[in-house]
Amino acid sequence: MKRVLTVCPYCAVGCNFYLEVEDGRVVGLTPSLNHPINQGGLCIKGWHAYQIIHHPDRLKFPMVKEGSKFKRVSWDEAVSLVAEKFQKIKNSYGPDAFAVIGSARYTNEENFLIQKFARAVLGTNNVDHCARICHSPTVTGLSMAFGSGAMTNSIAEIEDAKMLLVVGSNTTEAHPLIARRIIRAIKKGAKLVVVDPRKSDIAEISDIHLQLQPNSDIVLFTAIAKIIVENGLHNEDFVRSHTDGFDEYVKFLKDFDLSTVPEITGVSLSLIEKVARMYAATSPSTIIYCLGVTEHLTGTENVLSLANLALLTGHIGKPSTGVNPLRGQNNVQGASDMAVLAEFLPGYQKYTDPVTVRKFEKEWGVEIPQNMGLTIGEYPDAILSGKIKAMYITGEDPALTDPDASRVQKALESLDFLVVQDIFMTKTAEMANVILPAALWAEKDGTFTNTERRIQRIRKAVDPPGEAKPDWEIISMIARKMGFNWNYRHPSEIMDEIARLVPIYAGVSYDRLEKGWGLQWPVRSYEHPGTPYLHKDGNFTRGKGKFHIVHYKPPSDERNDEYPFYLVTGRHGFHWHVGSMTGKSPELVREYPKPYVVMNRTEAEKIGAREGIEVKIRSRRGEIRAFVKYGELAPNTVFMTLHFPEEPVNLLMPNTLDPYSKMTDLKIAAVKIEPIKGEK
Amino acid sequence: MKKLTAKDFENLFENWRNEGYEIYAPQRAPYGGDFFFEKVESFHQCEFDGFVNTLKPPKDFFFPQDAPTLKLYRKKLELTEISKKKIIFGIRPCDLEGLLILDKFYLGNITDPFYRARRENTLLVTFACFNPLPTCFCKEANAGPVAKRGFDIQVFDLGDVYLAEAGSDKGRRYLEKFEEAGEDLLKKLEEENKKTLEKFSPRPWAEQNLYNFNISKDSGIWRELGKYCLKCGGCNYLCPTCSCFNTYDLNYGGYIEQRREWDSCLLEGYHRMAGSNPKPDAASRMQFRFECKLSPEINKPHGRISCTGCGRCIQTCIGDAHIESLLILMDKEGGRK
Repeated sequence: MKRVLTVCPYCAVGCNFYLEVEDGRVVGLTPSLNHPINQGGLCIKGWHAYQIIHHPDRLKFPMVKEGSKFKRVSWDEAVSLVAEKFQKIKNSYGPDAFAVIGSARYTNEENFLIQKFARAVLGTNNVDHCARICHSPTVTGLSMAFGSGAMTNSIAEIEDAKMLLVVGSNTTEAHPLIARRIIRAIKKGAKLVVVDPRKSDIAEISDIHLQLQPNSDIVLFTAIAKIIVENGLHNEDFVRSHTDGFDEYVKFLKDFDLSTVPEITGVSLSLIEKVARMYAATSPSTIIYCLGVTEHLTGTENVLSLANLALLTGHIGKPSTGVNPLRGQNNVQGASDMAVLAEFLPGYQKYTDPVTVRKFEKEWGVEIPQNMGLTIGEYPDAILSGKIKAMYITGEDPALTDPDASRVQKALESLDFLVVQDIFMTKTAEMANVILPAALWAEKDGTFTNTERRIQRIRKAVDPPGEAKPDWEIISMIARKMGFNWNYRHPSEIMDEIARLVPIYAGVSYDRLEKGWGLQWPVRSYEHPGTPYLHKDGNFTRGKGKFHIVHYKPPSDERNDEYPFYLVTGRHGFHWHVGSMTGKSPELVREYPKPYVVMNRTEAEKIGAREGIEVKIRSRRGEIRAFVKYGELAPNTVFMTLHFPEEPVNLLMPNTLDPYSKMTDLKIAAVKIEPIKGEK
Repeated sequence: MKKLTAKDFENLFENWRNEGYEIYAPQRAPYGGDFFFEKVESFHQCEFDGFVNTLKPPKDFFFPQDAPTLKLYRKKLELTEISKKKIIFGIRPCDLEGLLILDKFYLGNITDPFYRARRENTLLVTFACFNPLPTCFCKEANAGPVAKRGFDIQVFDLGDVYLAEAGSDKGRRYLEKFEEAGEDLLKKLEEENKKTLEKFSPRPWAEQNLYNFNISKDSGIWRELGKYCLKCGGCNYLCPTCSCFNTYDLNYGGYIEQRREWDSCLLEGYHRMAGSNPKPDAASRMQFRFECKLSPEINKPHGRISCTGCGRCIQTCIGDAHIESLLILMDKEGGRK
């Protein structure tokens, strides 16, 4: 049996397992006991990851839409059609008539090529991916505060923290192999504080659960900051030598009124004070957060309010202490690093800097655009107003995943030309003019970068089904057809190009990656060992850490008498995103077969619902159905997961943008809930 | 007890291969370096240096993680064929005991044809353990470090020389021609075995609690373990005695393939039935699992507890809700001094 060590395709923890191959078919997998991240463990999604590989529904051949039906064509026909149409649209409407979506599921090398395709071949910065709607506030916020928008510490360090402040993350379900480290820390005596409107599984094992009102994070964390400063619990030495903006921040805190805090957050001042003292006095203390923080109108400011706490106390720049966003997809970190983001060049370099631009233009031999590109949340308007004519969407399903999904669908339908590259037929692919069948993670070589910035090899175990091809090959084929000299023979050659252009990846090569367990960026040279934790000894990437004054804003979609509940969303441990992969594993489907809405029992009974019955959930944008489950949430709050394509939760969500990061207000919508009577 | 050299094993391997056996022995995987039972051609390809056990139990050979049982065509039904003769060379005593427990289930009242075919086609060569891991407790679970039954051949690796004993007629046939081990070697073996027992991590709580399982359904122990169970299924999947499977179908257009995959009793869906779920929470599912492993009543037909002390659940558990945590909690409750 052939055993191929590779990286799990689900969340961004980066667990390694061996795919087991017999007669060209993956017949099982085993977690790696030696691997330093997962140490012999996997979550249930990981255990079943191989089951989608040979699924009969995989896309196997290129297809072109004729009328309302898809027709199988050859690669040459498909690629020629795409190249010709792209060229025609570029000639008629200019480069910014395109929008390209990359994929957090693809390798670094493929994402690098996707943005290169957008910038060098099409000539537009309209290239983005779903990090926009998960952790773009992290990239923006932590860059503003520290200079690097990524997890400051390593996963293994978590188990040695003595106090953990976990915010907006149900780690036990969404990142189980990080939860393992939290549990180990607890067993070693650490205190766990969980901040979440819902009594989630991880809240069940916490010492203190701050069950705040959704969206009130800024008020809560500013209150904690004020208590820390007023009681002299901040780290004066650290603040003086390693930060900017402290005095202004203290002035702001002085005017901050604590008396309004319990009303806005729903949390008592005495409990907040307890947490403030605990966080400041315990070392190492670490902050771990997830999308409960970022997917808000004030996402960037929420991140900044957490960064302020670390700067005040000096809980950063050391092992086991820092500010740690947990990324959600296998390579969302890498896709961001590779700048499948409208505002950056690879490695978070800016196209406002002429030296950087010259470096890229020299390597690529073309001029690159220097105007700010549009982001995912801005695409629908740009399409509907006629600015964007064509899209190239790879490995994403925006028709289901993006907020205000019905509007997105309307936009996609009105495009002149849509190319979708994916492994399964998706809602988005159904609307395409051309479908290009892609290889999945087990069918190609490449690298993923996990949430702790660790660049790891993925390895090909089996051939793709039918005529499907690795994405890096497909993109190169189109580029060649459009007259560009893209002749990569293997992803390692793309990585060499990345190393030449991206300083934080400068020391990465396949030779080095083969030798150990990957490398954690920044890796500044071939001799540099990588960086387990950032901002060592208070030497921040941006020089000094910077305090930011942030103000509370109510959500864009507010509750009223007609829509009396806040709907917040998240993940369940058995599924991943919209279920296009986990929805094909029988044990996972059995475990969690249908959509639920979690409600407080008394509130459910008040509207005439009870556990197990089906209800309609309506927001100002749409309506879906789900079955009631009881749980414990902040008053007038309900919770749903987004795993079911037949009941797309994001149809309900607003599409208002965080001004800093262009994140959409995806986490919170005002809804009304009604039992379905007499229908079955 | 016979005495064998590496050269003798090379000859045996050739002999076995001529008889049509595929031989599976420990090897390190490329890149990660984890151990697996891999197909080898000769004795010197086996990697026993540093080998204690594989994370995936050899039950995978008989009851695979995920495998087809039949294909259903429009007018015919095709059972998956199992014909390959195999030798598992280097299976550890704990996993051998595990297999004997699986036999009770798969070869019991209702015989599973797939399991039986694989089992009958396989020759088992045990290697006794001399270097247990910190997670190993076969000593207390009465399943090692030396196998007492169930093997065709048991090998003791004494470094420069091997001792081997037969446990079945099949095994005896292969060992007949070798010379008997002398007194000095037998004495050395006895000493080595004694030394091995001292290498196990001390677990004063283990023996008493493994064999006196008597925890009420409402005990706080189940809530405590259930609270930390992250429902990964890993302890079930890797347990050498867990026999539960789920079946599912894949529609390939021209035919339907029916498959079996390892199942986990810690999942809510495993217990779900019409009307209500008799194991509605993690605590009651924990209780169900450990009752299956340790209850004297349930395990009566096996003649032993259904835990062999292999330690895999300790290695893979991501919530520390494994058997060792249970034994320690039992110990605290029982107030052992």
